[in-house]
Amino acid sequence: MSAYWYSDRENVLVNSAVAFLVYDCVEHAGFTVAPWGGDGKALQDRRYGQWSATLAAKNGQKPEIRKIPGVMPEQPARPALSPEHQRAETTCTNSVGRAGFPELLEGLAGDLSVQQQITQNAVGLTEQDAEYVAYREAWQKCLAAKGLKLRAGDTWTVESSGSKEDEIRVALLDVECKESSGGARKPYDIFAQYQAAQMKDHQAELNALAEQKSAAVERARRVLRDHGVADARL
Amino acid sequence: MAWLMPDSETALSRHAMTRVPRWWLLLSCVALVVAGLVAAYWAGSAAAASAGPHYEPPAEIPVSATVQKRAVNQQAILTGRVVAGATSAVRASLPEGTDRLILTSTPKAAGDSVAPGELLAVVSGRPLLMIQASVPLYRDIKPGDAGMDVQALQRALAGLGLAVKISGIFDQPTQSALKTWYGNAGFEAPSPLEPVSAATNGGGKSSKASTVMFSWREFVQVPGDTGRIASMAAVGTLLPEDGVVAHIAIAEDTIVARANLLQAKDFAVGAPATVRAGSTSMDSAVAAVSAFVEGDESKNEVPGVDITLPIPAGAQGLSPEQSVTVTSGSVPPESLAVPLIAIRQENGIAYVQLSAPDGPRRIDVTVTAQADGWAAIDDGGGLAVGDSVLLP
Repeated sequence: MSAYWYSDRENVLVNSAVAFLVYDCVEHAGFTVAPWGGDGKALQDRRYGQWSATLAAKNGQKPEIRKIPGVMPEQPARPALSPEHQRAETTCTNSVGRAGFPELLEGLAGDLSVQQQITQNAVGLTEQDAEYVAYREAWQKCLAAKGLKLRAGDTWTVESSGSKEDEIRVALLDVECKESSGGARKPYDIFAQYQAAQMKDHQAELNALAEQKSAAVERARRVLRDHGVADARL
Repeated sequence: MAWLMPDSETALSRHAMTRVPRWWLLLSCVALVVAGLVAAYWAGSAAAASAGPHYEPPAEIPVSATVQKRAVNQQAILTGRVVAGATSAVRASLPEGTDRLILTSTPKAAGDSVAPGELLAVVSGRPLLMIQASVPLYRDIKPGDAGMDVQALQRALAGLGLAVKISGIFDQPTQSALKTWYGNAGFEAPSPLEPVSAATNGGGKSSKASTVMFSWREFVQVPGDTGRIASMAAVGTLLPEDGVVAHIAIAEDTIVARANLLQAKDFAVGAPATVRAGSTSMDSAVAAVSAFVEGDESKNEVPGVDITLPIPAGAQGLSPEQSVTVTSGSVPPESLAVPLIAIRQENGIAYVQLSAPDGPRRIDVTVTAQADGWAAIDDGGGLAVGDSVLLP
């Protein structure tokens, strides 16, 4: 499904293009805008909790965060804006909106796109899958044997005392239990199978989305080039 | 006026619909079509026959790998650095009657070891002698003086092999021992400015020349009593205001590496480890493991524990702050091994397909370790070095 959503890098390009278009509007209103460096972040997929012992040893239960380089060099902090300037920025942000760029990001609230529906269906089907249910039961049994509990209201996060050391130790035990229950990647594999089955049924729509995404990214690159961003950063 | 325009479509249709009264023309057309089909079939067959051998699907080419003897073990590798051992500064005090501290001479150089009894340096013409750290240096000791410091001095002198009785009084034998120490270093022990009476000096003649005093400024100490000179001022130089003559390393350099909690399992105290710096490789063992350290993302420091290893005796080419890698464990033993992709699974049982003249044969195996794309397998599985196993 990653072909139908923006990659982290593509998302930075599109967001930067939108920002430049907003700033064009602000400048048109008579204000000068400091260019924005941009600095995206990518989160490790942890739909079914922490799955890597190496990442657990580094981050505990927290997802891996990596910085996506922006399209502009690092910028100094923006000075305080005058009320008029702020108003102009707000007006332009509202009027430019997404500047016609489609929102192709996984997990956006209210997203009814086909790829979002496929994901939601795959999640639902995975959670009813007998192999998945057996896996989860084995994992929970293993956690209980180690004296660990799941955080209330959260189905995949294991409770810890709160200290960094304890969080990491608990995260490592969590992954250990997943490995002994059939492999930490098992739920993802089951999920991927359901997802693939549904993608077959919607291939035409997905192909259209892939084209839409390519066109949006290409347009974003054009906007950025027009605003002086070097090709090396695109 | 559309209705005035000629209706060309209607006109054409009318023309096409006109029947042709020549029946033989239809028969001729049918015969021509049949002849064309026959000719096309013949031409196609001939072209196919001349195109070469018949197409056959390619036969599957078996890909195999050879069973080998190799060391397969997942070893944790840490990045560490050489941490300089603690040092202690040795300071000189201005001798009586001098204005400046000049390092006159020294028998020592950087890297030399130092121990009590030795002459460390000569500053402004007076010696700096190494004395045990147990002697409290806070006053000059003159003949007849008594106290705990005198007792400690006597013990120190005795420790150097000099004949002295532990009386707690700076008596004649103690002074003689001190004189001998100074003499061995090539200096005369200082004398008290005031003459000392025979009674005060524990008997003997009342003479200034025959008595000596302990001038604390001419002695230096280091914690632990021994060490190695890390740095020394150059001879002839004016010492800084704080009088530092040398820095003595009182603890050896060590190697410190951060292990995350997953890696820390392989680095318990006493566990063997291999230290590598450039082309140098040396065996060591974990000497200490710190408490948990949170790490600092901005400095690229992962949370975990700090592993400390001593630098093996005689190790060359390691200097403070140098980067090293620390690998857990010693070299693992060799065992039978196959590429990991050769391992197949069925109902939870691992097996390989042995390539045999009479066709592939299934051999069940027990995987004992896997690393770097290789799987170590139990020797009792019916495989031998040199056997070929099929890759899927």
